[in-house]
Amino acid sequence: MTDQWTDRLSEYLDGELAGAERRELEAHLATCAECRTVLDELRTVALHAGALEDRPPVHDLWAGIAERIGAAGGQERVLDLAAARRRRAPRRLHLAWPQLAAAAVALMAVSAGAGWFLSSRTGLDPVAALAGDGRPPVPIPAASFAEPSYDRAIRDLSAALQEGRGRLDTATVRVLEHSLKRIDAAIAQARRALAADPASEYLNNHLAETMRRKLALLRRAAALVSVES
Amino acid sequence: MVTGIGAGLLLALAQGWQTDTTVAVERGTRLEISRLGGDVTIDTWERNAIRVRAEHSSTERIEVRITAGAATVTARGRRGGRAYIVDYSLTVPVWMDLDLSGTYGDIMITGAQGRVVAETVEGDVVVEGGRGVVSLQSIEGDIELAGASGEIDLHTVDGGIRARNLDGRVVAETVDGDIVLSGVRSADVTATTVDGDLEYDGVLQDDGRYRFITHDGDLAITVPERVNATVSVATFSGTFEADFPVTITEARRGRRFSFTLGSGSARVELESFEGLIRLLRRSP
Repeated sequence: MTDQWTDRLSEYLDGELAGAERRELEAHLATCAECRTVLDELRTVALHAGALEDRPPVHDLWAGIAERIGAAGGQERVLDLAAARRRRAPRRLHLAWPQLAAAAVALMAVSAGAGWFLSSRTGLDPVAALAGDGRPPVPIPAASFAEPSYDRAIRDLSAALQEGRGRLDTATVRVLEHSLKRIDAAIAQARRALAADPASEYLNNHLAETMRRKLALLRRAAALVSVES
Repeated sequence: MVTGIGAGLLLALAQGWQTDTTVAVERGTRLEISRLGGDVTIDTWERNAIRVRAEHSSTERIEVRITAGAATVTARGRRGGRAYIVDYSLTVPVWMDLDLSGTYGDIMITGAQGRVVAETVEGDVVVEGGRGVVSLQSIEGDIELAGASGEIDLHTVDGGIRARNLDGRVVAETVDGDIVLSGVRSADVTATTVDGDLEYDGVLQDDGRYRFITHDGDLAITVPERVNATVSVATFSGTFEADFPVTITEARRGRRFSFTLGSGSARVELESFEGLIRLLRRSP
């Protein structure tokens, strides 16, 4: 089961938690095996993230942003971005999206409690599995950096949903299909952006967060099938 | 399990098309209705009793089962099976905890001062009140909440979320819809949507944590003039505007930067992949 600390572990690892919060989380870790497991996984993948090349962004929006702020504020002091980069503390260990996705899957697995949805594995495309109406599914770009645990979780949940879709109202299925396509479109956009700027911390986090959303939706849909059966 | 003094089974047989029955309950009893297949409207009164009115067919009946700690309302069909389409209107004690779940239909609750858990699949959830835990969920429907406090979780998939006058931890999440939070007094707010705009008007408490994330939509965050916050802004192809004079304290790689307002005590994350992010000063 997830708790209030599970989404703070990355911050803890980055040393971003204030003293009181850090102590509170450490006290929690002493009693929560699930969080300790997730933290260990995060530590492992953070070591890999530390080896990422520190490249500048392809497109820097700061000039435009600074201009807007300057026009709005009048008294502000805007720092030079290049100087800020030079003064910046050594890069923290942020996680690339495959590691974040792996952590998300780990959290999902922990919170799922039971692996009931893992019983049938058909390898269906997650959207095609839901659609089933002859329409071409929204293509999900092949992940050259495919994360097996994420892909497997998506595949298994989709299979469970496909198996039980007959128990859901057609309108509900339609809504789920539509929403999954929205998320897949967002994932595709994030992946394309990340391909152009693979070291972007924001894009890595955003892609992982969007993938987590897809997992959460599929898990909820599969749970719905379970309730209706 | 049916236990305790006062436990019993009350069968309120349908009178034609209508059930209207009132049952006394002890303080602390919670209300449970599951497998809803119709609309349910709940309001409150000061009496320690629940009044159940239901519209259903003449072959169906409504059971109000009083057990230790719970009043369970169930609709039964002709042969004792489940009844599918029943509209309820209940009046319950103001202190009563409510636990409602169903598949089709709207859930509307007014004046609750206890825990509220309400889930539907196809329908809106509209609640005024709720304390302690307020968890509202839908798949296809809007969520509306006003005047709640405690641990507040608002989730839908295809629908918007609109909430005002909230105290406590707030989580609001949808996939395809807008989120509007106003009058929020919280130190912990998370609001995320994939395809929709997000508006927040509330406090930024010292040491608080606030996350507002959309993929395809705009953010409009309105806060008081004097705040102490470290604001992190991230976007891919969107833009940022602020009413506040800002000083950059950290510039991270790519389309992400942060700045400090006041002492920087609260932490605020604003993210939109391709929308407009605005940090607005509340008008006096």
